[in-house]
Amino acid sequence: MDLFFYYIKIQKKRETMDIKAYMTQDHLDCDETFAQMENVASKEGLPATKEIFDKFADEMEHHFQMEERVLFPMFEQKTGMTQGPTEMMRQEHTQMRALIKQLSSAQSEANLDKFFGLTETFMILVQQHNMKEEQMLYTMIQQHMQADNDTILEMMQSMITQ
Amino acid sequence: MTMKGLSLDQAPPISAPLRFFLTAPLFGIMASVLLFFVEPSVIMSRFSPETIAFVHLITIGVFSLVMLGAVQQMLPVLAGVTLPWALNVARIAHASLSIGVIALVYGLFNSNALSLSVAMVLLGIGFMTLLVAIVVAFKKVDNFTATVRSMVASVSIAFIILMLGEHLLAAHATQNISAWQLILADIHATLAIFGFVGLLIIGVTFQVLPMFYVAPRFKRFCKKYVLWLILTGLLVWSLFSIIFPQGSWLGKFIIALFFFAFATTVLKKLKERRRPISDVTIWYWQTGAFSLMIGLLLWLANDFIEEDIVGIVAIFIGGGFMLSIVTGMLYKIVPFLTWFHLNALGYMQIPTMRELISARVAKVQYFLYVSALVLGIASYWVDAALSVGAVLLAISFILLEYNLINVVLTYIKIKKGEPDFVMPSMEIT
Repeated sequence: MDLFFYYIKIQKKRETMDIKAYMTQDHLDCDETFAQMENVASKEGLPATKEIFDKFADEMEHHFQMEERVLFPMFEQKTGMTQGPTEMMRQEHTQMRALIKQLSSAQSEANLDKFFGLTETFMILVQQHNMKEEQMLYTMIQQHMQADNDTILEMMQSMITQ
Repeated sequence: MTMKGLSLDQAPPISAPLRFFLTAPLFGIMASVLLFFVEPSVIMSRFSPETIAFVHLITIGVFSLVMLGAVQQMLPVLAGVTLPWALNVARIAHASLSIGVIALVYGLFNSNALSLSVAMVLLGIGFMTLLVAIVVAFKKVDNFTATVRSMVASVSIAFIILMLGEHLLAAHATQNISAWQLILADIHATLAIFGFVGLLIIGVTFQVLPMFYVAPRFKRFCKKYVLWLILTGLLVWSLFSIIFPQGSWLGKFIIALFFFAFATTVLKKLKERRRPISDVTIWYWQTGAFSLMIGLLLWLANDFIEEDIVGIVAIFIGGGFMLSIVTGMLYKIVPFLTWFHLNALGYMQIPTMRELISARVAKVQYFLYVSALVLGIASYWVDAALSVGAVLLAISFILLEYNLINVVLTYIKIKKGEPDFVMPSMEIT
């Protein structure tokens, strides 16, 4: 019986999930890990933050790659817009990757002031980036790619971060 | 569906919003100096020229400059559109508003009709330039989020406030002030506080709290209905003030109720925030929300007690709530703008947000500001408190300006060096 409900739940989730909701949820998950990382850093110090930092960096990289390797190319192929919004988002990914790298060295140097200075910058950058994606790009993608919704979701879910 | 909002190079040039942010504390200093030299009884009377001058140095010189500067910056991110003719709009609006306020203050102090007429023209040009540009930008919005709706409402109300303000200014210039003008002045002030600034703050808060502090998102109910409920309150209040003053408390009650709910929600969300940071900006949010709650209760009570405590209400809502939020916003937005523009130009070695603004100076600035508020309220009973409060307020504005200028100096210094690499198609000046 339990299995039956589980099956229903999964089916329901699959039915209702669209790309926009999925990617927005992934943003929120990354935010959550980010906040956890800050909490560990402020309570237990930076050396203890290594594990959660790695988790955070992995989640971010996974999200970037879902977009750069699956979502954006398919959108570009469909619409022919290669120099438009997706390109701008890639450039912001570059900015964020650079900040994550700096965060990593602040973590290994155990430089708390630098670490929290960088998280502050990172947070604002990432949030204004997310907002543009959630309010505009994902909406555009949903409109253009509705027919391929499930395929794209599956491709992104099964993607392994490189 | 447009894509313009997505491109980085659609961000307005950094000098467009910065000029607003750097000028605002200067008007705060001017207002404090004015406060130092006036009699407490004069400033507690709401229709004295000194009070009107002081209030407008703060409301136009500080609030409007910061909020309108921030709107230019936020439109691409929050609404996906950019201000047309960004730099020229910023130049014209900034110059007209700044000189206009000074002309207004001079004219009021010296009952100088010419100076007041100059103020009428310049303030009209300043506000209209920005408001029209914002409306033009809004026409391109595809996705009307709760934040965008609040911004549209706020800007629409700003037109009404401006018209009423111009009318009142004309009445002052011609020395022709009747009881009717006092009613209009009431409507002008209430719409400005709760309609223009209030709704703008609410709309931006929906986005900013979850963003900066990883606080829980606002409920659908808040985002969907609060705007309409407050607008109803404002409409009821304005109409009743004109045709049936005895019933105007009903509108007042609706406005106060939902702003009170907003304040409690802000405190709750801040409490539930996931990020551990507790910097000065958090204190500013909390101070703002608490002051708003007390101010609203006193505002409601004012109808039912003998004594007129509107001066204290103004200190709580104008000083405690609005100035808090505006200052907190400056502390986030100015360092980020600097980082963002430098980074987009290809500079990699940029100081972090924490290194750009000294947390110590920001804390001192905060405590001076809170002390000034307390003394301002105390001056209601103890005259001497006013001048001490004015001095503290002046110093707090000087420190704010110092903090902001430091950030800009860092920007200039870094920009003099060669960028680490040049990003293609990301030319931002």
